[in-house]
Amino acid sequence: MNTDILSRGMAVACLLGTAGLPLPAATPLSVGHADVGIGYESGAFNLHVHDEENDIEYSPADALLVVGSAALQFSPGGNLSFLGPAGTPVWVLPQQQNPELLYLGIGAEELVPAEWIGNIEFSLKSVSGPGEFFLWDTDPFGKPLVLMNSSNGVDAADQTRAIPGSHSDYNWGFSAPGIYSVSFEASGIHGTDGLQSSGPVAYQFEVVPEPGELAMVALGLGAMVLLLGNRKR
Amino acid sequence: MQMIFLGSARASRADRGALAPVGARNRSLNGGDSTSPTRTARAPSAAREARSLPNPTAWIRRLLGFALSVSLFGAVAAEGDPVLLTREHVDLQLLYAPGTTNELYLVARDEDQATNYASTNVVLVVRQAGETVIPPGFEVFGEPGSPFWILPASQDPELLYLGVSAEGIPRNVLAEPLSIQLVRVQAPGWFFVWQFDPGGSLDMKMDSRDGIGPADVIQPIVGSHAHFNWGFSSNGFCDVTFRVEGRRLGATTNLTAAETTFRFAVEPLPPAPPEPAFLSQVTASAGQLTCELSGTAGAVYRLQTSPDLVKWEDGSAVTAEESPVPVSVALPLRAGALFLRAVSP
Repeated sequence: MNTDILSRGMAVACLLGTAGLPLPAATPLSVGHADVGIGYESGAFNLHVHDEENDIEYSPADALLVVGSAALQFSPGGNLSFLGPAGTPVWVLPQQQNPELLYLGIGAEELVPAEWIGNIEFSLKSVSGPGEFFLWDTDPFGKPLVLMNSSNGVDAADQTRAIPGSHSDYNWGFSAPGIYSVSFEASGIHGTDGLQSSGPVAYQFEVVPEPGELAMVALGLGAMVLLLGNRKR
Repeated sequence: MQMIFLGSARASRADRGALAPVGARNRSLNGGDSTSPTRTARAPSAAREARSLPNPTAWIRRLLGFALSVSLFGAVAAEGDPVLLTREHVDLQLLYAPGTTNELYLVARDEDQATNYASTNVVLVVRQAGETVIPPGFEVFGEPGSPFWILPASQDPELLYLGVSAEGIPRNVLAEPLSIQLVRVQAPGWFFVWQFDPGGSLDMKMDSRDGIGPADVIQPIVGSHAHFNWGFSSNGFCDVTFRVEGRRLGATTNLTAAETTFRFAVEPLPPAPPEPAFLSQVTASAGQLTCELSGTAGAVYRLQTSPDLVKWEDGSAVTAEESPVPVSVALPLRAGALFLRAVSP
């Protein structure tokens, strides 16, 4: 596990470094319960990451939402074929908590229900990364309700609702390992402030490949980090 | 000499516990002193399977006034009406109270109000919006096409959003997994708890239909919470009893944990049973016993007479009104006892 964290940290440092983003690297969240949090402060939406385990709030840029290698599954086809034909690999943070994985929800618990007219619309605005992004819910008879799916483009249909004062857990799927930047937008009608929108807010995900591959990638990235470090000197 | 007993009773198909003498007299009934009848205790309600109800809330409140009198926490049940939770986000929350007689227990936590309720003080309502039918392929729940009620794992603002939480349990104190074991279901139908895994497979947690045993268990993760689908194959009241099982790290015996019964009210609830009838103002003259019947206005009560409290004979039916309704029965020709009662069907 330690090597996992180390290599992950290096990978993050490396990628953020190459992207020219400021260091220190974002804090990785890889297990426990966390929410993409929707707050409203001083007349504006405040989208953040809420680490429910430690009750710490991160700005989206400061948190790396880790999709551990245990998330690897294969599409069973059927009504999950939006993930790809049967056998397609997909990395899923599941709606039902797996203690080895991040348990990620969307939380609007900070919003005061009485202050909002209707629900909050939570929309996908863009996905950049090595693969596709999926967000889906499951009805009581197991039928998937696809809320966001970047594989057919990102448009107004890629959205879900967040109920002020509540939270929901979903399945978060990615079609390939690597680093993703996924932008979401929250909008809703505030009773006194009127229509409000957060604008697109980017969240960082890292999908960790299988351990075998991971070692190789880590080795390569480690070498790159060393090289980069040397160059700076 | 005639003895006349007046009684009132409900749901007396078997005449069990139905009689409650409310006044006894050993002289002629012409005397002016009328013994004050006292209200009788209610017998258990029947016919919970019926399917229409004008005012469910009032019915629940009335019923719960006496039905939930058992405290499962070793404490005195709070007075007053139980709280009906209908559309809130509620967790069955595990609490840990080391050193007490009940070290692990469950409460209903209204997450919206951050309020914990003892199981005896709360009713978990399954609104009629939760009614659906069993689709083909889900015979595990019953015959496809049959009515079925669900509180879903994904929030529907029209319905109670019920989860299970071990967020209040300290870390590194108790051995995992903790278990919430299904012990008993008292209901007109079956009770189910399930999830779907990301691969689309049904993960049944509790299923009273195939019997109740060790496999009927939810194992919450310490410090976390989970949402489930809760299913009911019948409307009416569904009393579900759980027991929490857990032990301290390194311990060899489980913590003490009493059973906890939560009541689900699956709507539509059966019609409220009428109030027990109340017979008063007794007089006897010209071979007739006359008295006044009070009860739930609009409810029909059946008069019954008996010479011996064993054999009961149906008399006329009386519909109660807002004010007492006079009723009369013929007195026996020969001296002897006459017992009179009014029962609700």
